[in-house]
Amino acid sequence: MSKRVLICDDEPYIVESVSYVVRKAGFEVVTAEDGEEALAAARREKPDLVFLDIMMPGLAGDEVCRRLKSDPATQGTHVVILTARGQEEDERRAMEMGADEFMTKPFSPRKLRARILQLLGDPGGT
Amino acid sequence: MKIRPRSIRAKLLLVFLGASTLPIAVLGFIFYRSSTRAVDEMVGNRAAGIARAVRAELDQRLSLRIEDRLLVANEPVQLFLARGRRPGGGVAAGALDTLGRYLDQLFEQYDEYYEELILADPGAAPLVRYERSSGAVVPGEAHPRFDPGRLTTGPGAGSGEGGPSPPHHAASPLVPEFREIERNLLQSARDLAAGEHILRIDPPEGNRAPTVSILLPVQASGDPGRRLGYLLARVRSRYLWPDDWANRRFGERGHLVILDRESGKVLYHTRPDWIGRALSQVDPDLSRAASPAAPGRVDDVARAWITGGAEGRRVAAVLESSRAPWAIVATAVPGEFAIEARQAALFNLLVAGGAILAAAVLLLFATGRLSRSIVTLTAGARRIAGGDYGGPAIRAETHDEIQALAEAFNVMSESVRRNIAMREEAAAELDALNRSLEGRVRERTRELEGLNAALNLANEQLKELDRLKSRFLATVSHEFKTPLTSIKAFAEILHDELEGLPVPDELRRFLGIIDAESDRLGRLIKNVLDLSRIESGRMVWRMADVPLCRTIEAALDGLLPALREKRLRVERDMLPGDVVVHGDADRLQEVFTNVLDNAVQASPEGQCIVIGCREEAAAKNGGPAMVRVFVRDRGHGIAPDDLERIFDRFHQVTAQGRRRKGGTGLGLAISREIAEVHGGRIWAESEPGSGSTFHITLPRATRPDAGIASFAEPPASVREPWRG
Repeated sequence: MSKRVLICDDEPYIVESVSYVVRKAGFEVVTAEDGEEALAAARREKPDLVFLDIMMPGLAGDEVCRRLKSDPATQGTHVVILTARGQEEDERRAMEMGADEFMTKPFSPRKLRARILQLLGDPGGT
Repeated sequence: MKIRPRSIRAKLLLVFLGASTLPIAVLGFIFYRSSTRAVDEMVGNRAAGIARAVRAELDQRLSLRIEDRLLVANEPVQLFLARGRRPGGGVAAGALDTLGRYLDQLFEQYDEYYEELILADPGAAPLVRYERSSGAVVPGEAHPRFDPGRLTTGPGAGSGEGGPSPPHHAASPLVPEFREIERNLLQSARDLAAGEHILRIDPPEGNRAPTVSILLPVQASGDPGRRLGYLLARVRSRYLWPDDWANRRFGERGHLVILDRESGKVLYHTRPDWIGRALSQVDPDLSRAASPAAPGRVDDVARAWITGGAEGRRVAAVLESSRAPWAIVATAVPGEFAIEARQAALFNLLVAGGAILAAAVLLLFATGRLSRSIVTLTAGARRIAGGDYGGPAIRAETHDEIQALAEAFNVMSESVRRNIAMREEAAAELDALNRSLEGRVRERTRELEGLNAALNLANEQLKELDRLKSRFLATVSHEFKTPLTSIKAFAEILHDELEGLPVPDELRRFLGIIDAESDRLGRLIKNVLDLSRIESGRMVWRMADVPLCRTIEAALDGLLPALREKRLRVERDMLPGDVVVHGDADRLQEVFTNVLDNAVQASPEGQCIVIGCREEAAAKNGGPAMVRVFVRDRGHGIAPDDLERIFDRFHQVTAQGRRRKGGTGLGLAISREIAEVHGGRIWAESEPGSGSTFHITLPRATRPDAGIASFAEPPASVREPWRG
């Protein structure tokens, strides 16, 4: 069973581009459009990695991260914050919330793929 | 302390009394001590003076008047002696009678008369005597009062005429004889003036006048050297003893004595009962005093002090007559004068005391005025001192220094009053000015407060604007980033996915351009955001001790692809050891990245870039020690006009004026902001054609060890190699 990656962003094109990179890397993709949906999907699908945007309608990404990390069911999930807010205080806050990685937009798909493989290991597909 | 002006009066009075009474008292004492002697002296002088005066008058009476008259009488006597000298001759009697009558006429008018005339021959033998009272002419009879021995001492008596000479008048005519007589008279007058001719004076008896016996030589008219004979006359004369002798006595108990030295009898005395008696009997003390051991002193007044007797102590002034063998004795008792003198002294003292008293009263009066003036002055001065300058002027009509002082006071008071009035006026003006000033200040303050409020409002609005701008920029950049993220992601995905597919190279290159430009757009957005945060002060600085070389190496690492692409060499000219500066490591790395990127862009391919570090001279104002990092390229350099402008925003210049490839136009502007926040500077030097050099100064860390220790945790950029 291949590993699953949850991608949560309110911007569909970004979800699509990240999903393409994840799928090409050989992982299953689950998507969510906001925080609530992301939490529900995380509990339901038990993903191995979650990409979270911060600025989203409803629950903000860092809050979603805090809840994921405080829920025993989702505690082991890797969380990568992928945000346009690239300031240091944003990064520090994300780390405080328990995020494993902090990446800023715009991102380089090449580097994103390398990071995913580093975190989840190469499934040996492509 | 209140000073009583009246004490001045007391002092003045005391000084005055002391100054006036002390000398008087001393003088009085001295006078009292010496009064006895002084009175003695005075009384003696007075007595001597009286004696002198009496003798002078007596001598005058004896010498002049009687002599004159007898001289006149000489004429008929001469006639008689010349014509009829024989005793008992009728001629002689007739002559004498004629003479007598003549003399009567002569003396009568002077209240004097002769009692008898005796004619004597040259041998002094009496020839004839004429008694006036009886009119009898007695020839040849010696007169008891006629002393022949005395005659020999008379003038001309010793002329050597041994006996009677024959008469010569017979041979002489009458008229020439008279002429001779005339001449003879003159000669006789001369003789009389020189000789003693008054034989004696008998004191007055009862109310009869004293009798003067006069011997008169008679010369021959024709032969002045030949003496015809002598005339002896006894003349009674009141003139000799004037009644006022008694007035000459001195003092109550003093008296005057005229004494006949030969007989020792009193010729005259203040007390009539003494006259005619021997002085030795009536007053033995005075008699002794009046008979000095050396008689014959005519001019000297002999003074003798008589201490015994009932009269007490007295003085006797004795003077001998020059015309007669008499002595004039004036006595006085100093005792009575001493009392007088003391009384006079006492009187004087009383008068002086009265005068002093009067003067003291006068002084009191005068000082009273002075005191009142001074009191008035003092009151005025107190009034002025009390602050009452408008009161009436001090009045002192003393016409002296006090008035001058009072006027000076008034002038001063007036001056002070004017001064105070001026001051009050000035103070009032100042007060008014102050009030108006206060009002103006309040007004101005209100204006300023209004302005301030407006300013605050404006400031708030500005801040709000700034916040809005920042939020806007943040939002905008975020909103930019979202589509940019998609562009970047899909461009890169496409670029990678088309790898190996038969796509024309030109299209492949276009896709690469999209990718690179989206990267550039991302950097631009980041720079704009950073610049905005630095300017608004919202940038968070993590100041620490930063190792300079490591930071530079990190910046060079980020530029390795570009360096490789242009085959550029990097030459390092660092200081020995790792220099530690104080700053934000990420921002400093960004500065070095910008400057080095600039050098990479400016350098021609295959050239060399030099990066170095130098110690800076210590700042004069005592700031921290600085280091200077420089980056030199071999490019075309920068025009002098552009050396500063390259640090402006969006001002991209290259040597050829072309826009630099991939630059944002904000790198150097941000670098300058960062350097200045660190207290350093950044500037460029260039010689067009031979490259340019960028200098950055930074403060050295004060504790280099701490910086290295804190660097144990690697910076975010190291942890995130793909960032930026």
